[in-house]
Amino acid sequence: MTRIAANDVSFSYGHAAPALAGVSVAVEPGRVLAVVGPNGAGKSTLLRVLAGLLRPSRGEVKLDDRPLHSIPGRERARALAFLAQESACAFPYTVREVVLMGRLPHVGTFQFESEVDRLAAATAILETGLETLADRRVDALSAGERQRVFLAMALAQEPGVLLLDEPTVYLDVRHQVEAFRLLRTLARDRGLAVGVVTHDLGLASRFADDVALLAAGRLAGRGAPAEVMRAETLTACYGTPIAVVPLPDGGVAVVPTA
Amino acid sequence: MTRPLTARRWAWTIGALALVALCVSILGVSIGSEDIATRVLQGKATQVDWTTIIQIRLVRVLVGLLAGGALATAGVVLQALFRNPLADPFVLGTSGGAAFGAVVGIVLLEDAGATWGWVETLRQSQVVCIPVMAFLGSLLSVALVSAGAVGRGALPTQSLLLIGVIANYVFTALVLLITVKADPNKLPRIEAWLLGDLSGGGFLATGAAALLAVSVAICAVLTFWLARPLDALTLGDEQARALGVPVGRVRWTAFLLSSLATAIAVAIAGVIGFVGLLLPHGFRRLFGADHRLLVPACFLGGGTLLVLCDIPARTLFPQELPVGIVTAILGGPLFFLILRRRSS
Amino acid sequence: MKRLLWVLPVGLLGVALALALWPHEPPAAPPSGPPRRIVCLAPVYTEVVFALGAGDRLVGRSQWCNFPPEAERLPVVGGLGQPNLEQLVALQPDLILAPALGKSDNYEKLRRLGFRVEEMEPGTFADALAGIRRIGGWLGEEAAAEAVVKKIEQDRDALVKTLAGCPRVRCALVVGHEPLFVSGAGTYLDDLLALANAENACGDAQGWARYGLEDFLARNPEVILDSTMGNEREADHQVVAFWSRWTDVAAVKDGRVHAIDPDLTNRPGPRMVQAIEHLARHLHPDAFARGTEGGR
Repeated sequence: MTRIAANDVSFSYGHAAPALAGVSVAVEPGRVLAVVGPNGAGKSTLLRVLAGLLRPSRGEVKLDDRPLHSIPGRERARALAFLAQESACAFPYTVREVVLMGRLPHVGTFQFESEVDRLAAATAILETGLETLADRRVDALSAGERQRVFLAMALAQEPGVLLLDEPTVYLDVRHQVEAFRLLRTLARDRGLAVGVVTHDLGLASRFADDVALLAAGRLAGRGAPAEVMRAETLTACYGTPIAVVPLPDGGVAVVPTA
Repeated sequence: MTRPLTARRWAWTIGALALVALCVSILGVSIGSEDIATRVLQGKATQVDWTTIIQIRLVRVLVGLLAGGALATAGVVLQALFRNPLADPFVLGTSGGAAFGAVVGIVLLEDAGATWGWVETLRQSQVVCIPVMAFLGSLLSVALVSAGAVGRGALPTQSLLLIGVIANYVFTALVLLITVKADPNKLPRIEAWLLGDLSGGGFLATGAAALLAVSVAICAVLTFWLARPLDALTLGDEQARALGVPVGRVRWTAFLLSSLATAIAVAIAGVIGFVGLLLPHGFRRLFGADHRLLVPACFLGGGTLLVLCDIPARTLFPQELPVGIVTAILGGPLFFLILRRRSS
Repeated sequence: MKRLLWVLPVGLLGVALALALWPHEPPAAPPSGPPRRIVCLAPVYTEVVFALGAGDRLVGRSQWCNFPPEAERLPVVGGLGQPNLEQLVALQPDLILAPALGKSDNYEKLRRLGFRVEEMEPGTFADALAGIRRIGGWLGEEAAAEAVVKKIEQDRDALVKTLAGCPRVRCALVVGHEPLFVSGAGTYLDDLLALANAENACGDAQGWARYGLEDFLARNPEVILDSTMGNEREADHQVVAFWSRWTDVAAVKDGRVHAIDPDLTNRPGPRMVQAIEHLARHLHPDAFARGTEGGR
């Protein structure tokens, strides 16, 4: 049960205007946090700060109660998995091989993967529905299939915290829903703390337990989806008219109007 | 295509490649202009025969193993660093720098020795000789290229590539300038160095074996500590960092070690193409892209290939062919075949 | 496990250090006395050794050693200064005469293996005479060397006297086409030219130099001696054909473009005076039309 929290963090790329200014947000174990907001609001930056890939200029990030930057890289990678939005694949690795790379933080300097590692990888492959593709070369897959491969790799890390940067960009509707459902299951059943940056407000409202709305590097709203994702708030944030339409099954559809 | 790597597959593959390398080495030591092999088998080998076998043929085999191994290993590591299977070990300016160092040595060393006593003592004691000058030239090039890339965090591959190309051009231009202005009597020596060969220069068997040991040590470090992180690096710097890989440190170490290996290879054997590009390519298709296996496999394979190519290079014609010509003749069509297979 | 991984690289570096510092005992010095098994890696040294009467002591030659004809019976051990080490070592020579322009690394290795390698640089006419004396000293044939040198000096003086009355022509020594290379001041050929009572038209260049065609035409040499076609039968025709288009040059206009044989003119050895004569026949044809004897 790991918790990751950013306290009053600020970050700037170079000498430009700050990408993040005084943001405090926490990803709780057993819950899914969706980070939403307009382009350039600082969502990816926030995620990277939480993941320890960027160092905030002010404020700090704590993994449970330890400052994130005091934790050595491999130990951090055992507790926390980050899935980048774009991943390269220049070489002919198979799906199984890439997913196994997720075990890197657990395997020694020059050791080979053990049964435990192979099991974790196999589980991740099943969870992401990649069994039929398991022995195919990753560079021969479609963008959507590739995205699932990297998701499986993150899952194979068996982290306590899972941070994903727009993991469903190339996926079709069905796989998008399956991915989010998987994230919710991981949170609920395995107690993972899941943080997801997404542009899809509908999926966010349906599958997230908490929502953090960012605008211009600041927190414009934080809390349950119903509270944060109101039509007025969203319209103000995104600068375009947005309607929040209730659906028969209790969920909402978030749609642009005009 | 390939199942994920296991300890068993690693051991069997490396063992088999090592065995092939050993056999080819024995072949290399047995074949030559003089028919010494039969005399050895009959127990009638003379002292002169043994000198030939050890100080001439064995030295060639050792140089072939170390140069081929170093170039292939450097090639595969650089391909991982650049995330590009078309990178070769000379792309960062090491060959240009080595040529520059060697040519400066050939043209200026004797004259400098006439002017400054200490230079002459160094020259006579062989502490400063052409291979050493070539090695220093290589290091100079690496230093300049690194200086251009330092201070930007984890080795920026784009700028590095450009700086390397520039370095090669500049050093090549300097080499040409020196060649044009030099005493024409020195030209054959310059040409001979540039073509490269495995004779090992003035090195005897102990010296060549020492260099081979260094080469293997570099490969061992790359395999044990950097191979798996290199796998992660090919997925992207950010993703690798997310997996806990110290990206900056790994890139710099890999870059410096492979540059060192290349510098050693070029200093003693000249510029030999194809081994650093083709062998990693071919082996990746054969053995998969896992660098824990690929790096040592390329070392063994590269060495084997060079020793093998050297056999026709020195026996086909009375005049010794530079081994780089044989690798190019074999390499060209082979590369073409690989490309065709890839598209089919 | 991590500790174990250090063992291999560190161990290897230790092995490398040990091997590098391994003391190398040079083989025992050969028994004293003049060398009896000589290998020459350049044609001029073969000629010198034969001229000193020690031809029977030669056991190997370079593939270009073609004079005197007896030399061609000797086994070939490689090209010019590029010996096949195996064959050379198998011959077990006690003296190797090598040109300084060869691959010096090979010479270094041969020395480490206990062979005696004497490197010689090409130089001027006077350097060549000193070289003959030096080789004579190594072979223990000082008297023969002195005799050869004396004879060369006598023949040279006689030839110079014969040519003294001739007009001093301006001659260009061409050694390469496209790009144009000439033998400038300070070269052996330049020396020969001076002894043949001619002026080097391209004497402003130092050594073997690339010469601009414009400058060459401006120099307007009276005679062109061209060694680029080697000693082919048709050399003369080819050389004349090459220069025929530059009709403004005095040498071309007067039909004084000739091929010279580099096998004779590029060897600063016993046949030096014959080389001068070879040049002089083209430079001062009248002097020889008076019926002087001598070969080509």
